[in-house]
Amino acid sequence: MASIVLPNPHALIDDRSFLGHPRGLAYLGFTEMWERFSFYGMRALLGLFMVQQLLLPGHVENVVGMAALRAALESVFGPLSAIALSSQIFGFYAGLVYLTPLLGGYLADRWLGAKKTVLIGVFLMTLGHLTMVFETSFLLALLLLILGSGCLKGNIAAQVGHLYAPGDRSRAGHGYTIFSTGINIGAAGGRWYAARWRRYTGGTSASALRAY
Amino acid sequence: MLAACAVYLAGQKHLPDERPRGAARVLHAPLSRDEWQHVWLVIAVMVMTIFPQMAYDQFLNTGMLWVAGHVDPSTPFGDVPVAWFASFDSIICIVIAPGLIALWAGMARRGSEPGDIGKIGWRALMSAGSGLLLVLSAQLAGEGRTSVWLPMLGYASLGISFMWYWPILLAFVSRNSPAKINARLMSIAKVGCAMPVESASTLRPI
Repeated sequence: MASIVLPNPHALIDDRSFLGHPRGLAYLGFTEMWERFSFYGMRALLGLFMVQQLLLPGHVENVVGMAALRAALESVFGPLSAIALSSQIFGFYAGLVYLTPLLGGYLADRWLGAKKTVLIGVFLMTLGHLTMVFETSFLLALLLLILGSGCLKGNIAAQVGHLYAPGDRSRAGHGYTIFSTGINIGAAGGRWYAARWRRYTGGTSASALRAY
Repeated sequence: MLAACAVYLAGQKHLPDERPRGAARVLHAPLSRDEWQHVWLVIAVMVMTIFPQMAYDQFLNTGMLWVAGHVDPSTPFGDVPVAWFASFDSIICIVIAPGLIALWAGMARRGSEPGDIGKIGWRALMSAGSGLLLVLSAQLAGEGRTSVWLPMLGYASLGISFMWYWPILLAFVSRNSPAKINARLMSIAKVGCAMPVESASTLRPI
């Protein structure tokens, strides 16, 4: 469980320097915008990257843990082609990204608070995107992204609510609308960038994936 | 992602600080009766939002198949690719946000802004209306392909409806969740938004 501790609560809550809202909203909104840009852009290319490069002979042998993961999945689902294996990995990744926020919320409520948990999430996700540069660490990268997303997703939204006084119902609602718009811009921008990269630069899925 | 990291680090002093209360007794204190009532209220509202969200996800799932098979994509400005229909809602969400905030702020000044539940209810109605536009479009077309305009309007109104739900639900959950489990309930709200995607996939073959 965490309590909100403000050095000067009125200074934060009365702050209207960002479109009539606390300045913290801008930082949370832009953090989420860039995080969603990376997340959706990378996700749009993940399946293609696996099928067109990573899971092909000459590459798949380099991925640490892939043989063990493949054996485990095949023991349940039977022999898997590259496409089927990529689909399974993508499914687990997408599912866990949405389930781990429950653990992240628990961590924030009981021990760390939302601010610190989000900070951990941001670091883990950054590390995840950086480790995706190398084929060897592909599965580690996905794990870091899953854990980072768990720490970040729900908690950053909770932080927006902490910027407003409990009775400030209307302004908090408008604040969340601005925050959600940041998410929408990031999600749309990430997908758009992924499409443009492939179409106009001739870049491969791998090179685009690394750009996130 | 480095940009997200840089922005979050730069904003640290503008964000409310939090730290655990420390005392184990308080840490593990059970929720009071009043807090439990708030939790059930929040969960009930989240459950209510799942149904219109299922409709929303059907638009982006089965709806896209219908568009591909039954909509004539031609317009005087060229053909509208099927994938664009999936983009309408997110683009509309971005475009209408400033106007929506101005509208609600004006209503708040006059004391006529709908409450959270009211807005979420309007969202459900708008989602249903968006679906009806597709039905109307299909009926008007008969056996042939339907014109692109009504389906486009349906997808656009769906995008508008989303803004009457998602930020409002987050604000509602944030405000009504007991502090002890605030982050967990916010996370559940996030998961709840994704859940109907799976339900929509399950419904498709029916």
